[in-house]
Amino acid sequence: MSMELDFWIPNLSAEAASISRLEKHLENDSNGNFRIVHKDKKIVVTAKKDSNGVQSDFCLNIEILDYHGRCHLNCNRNAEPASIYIANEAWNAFRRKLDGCEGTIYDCSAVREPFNVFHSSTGEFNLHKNAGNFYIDMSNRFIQSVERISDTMNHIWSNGMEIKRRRYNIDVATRSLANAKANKLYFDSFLNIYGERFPAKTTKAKIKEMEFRMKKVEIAYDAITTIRNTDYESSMHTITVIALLISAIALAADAFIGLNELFQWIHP
Amino acid sequence: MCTWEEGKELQRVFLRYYKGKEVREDDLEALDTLSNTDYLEYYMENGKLFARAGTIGKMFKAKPMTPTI
Repeated sequence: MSMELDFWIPNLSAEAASISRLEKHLENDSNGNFRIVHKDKKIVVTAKKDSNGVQSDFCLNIEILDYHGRCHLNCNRNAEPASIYIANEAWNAFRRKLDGCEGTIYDCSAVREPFNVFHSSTGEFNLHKNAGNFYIDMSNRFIQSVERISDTMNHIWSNGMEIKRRRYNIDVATRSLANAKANKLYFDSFLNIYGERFPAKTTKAKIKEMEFRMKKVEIAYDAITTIRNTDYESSMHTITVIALLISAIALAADAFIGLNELFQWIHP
Repeated sequence: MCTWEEGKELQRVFLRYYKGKEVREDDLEALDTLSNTDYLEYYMENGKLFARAGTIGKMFKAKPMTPTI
């Protein structure tokens, strides 16, 4: 079973895949594990020889369906874990050329792995397909990504695992919140670009769904950072008490020495 | 929304792959979630698919907290 689906290049300007951008950014590429060849609106991503685990017969075809960034992906490999990983890597090699958010703090993780939703509960491969409406499927992917962020943060952080160092607590929460906010940003952009293709009620429902998911992430973030701040305040309180004790001892010692000198002066 | 059982599964898979391990197909669903959120990351070695702690995952210890109750 080959891998095939419609997907979206995240962008805020709605011109991610305009001809001028494709020509400007996809010319003469020779870096990384993949070779990206661009002709008209067809893009072919092939593996270079001797890349780790990537056979040279690998090929990901990307057909640009509109200049807003909607494209059709078609990979010549069967859906199995290693091939899916390579197809995702090839997509990201292409995406790096056109997408400014890839690899940044505002990375849109919802579009990082087009073929990552591929495993069904029956144990058979169940590639993410645009089974129904592409626009609804894509917006669901954004919502699902934010849901995953809150779930992972809650279940791994809150209940099961210990952070290596205390100062990392806030890092984990901040990075997860930034990731969720980035996905929300590109979700908003997607609706802004393609909103007219959605039935009106569906758009409102999707916006609401996303709002609820964002609130979930914010609850987790607030809880984690509050714990961190409470820990900090507790440490500061302990330090203050110790400092006061030391001062009191020093003052008492000083007073004792002073009294002793006075006594010696009165009764030499 | 992740159920309690699914949450336990996330923890199990996170621990299992933290130090790097070849991917088992049974774990792929949880691995998708953990890689999408940077807790784990996929990589290739000798043509096989592996997973290990990602940028966020590295901030955690590889063992669960001991119960305090």
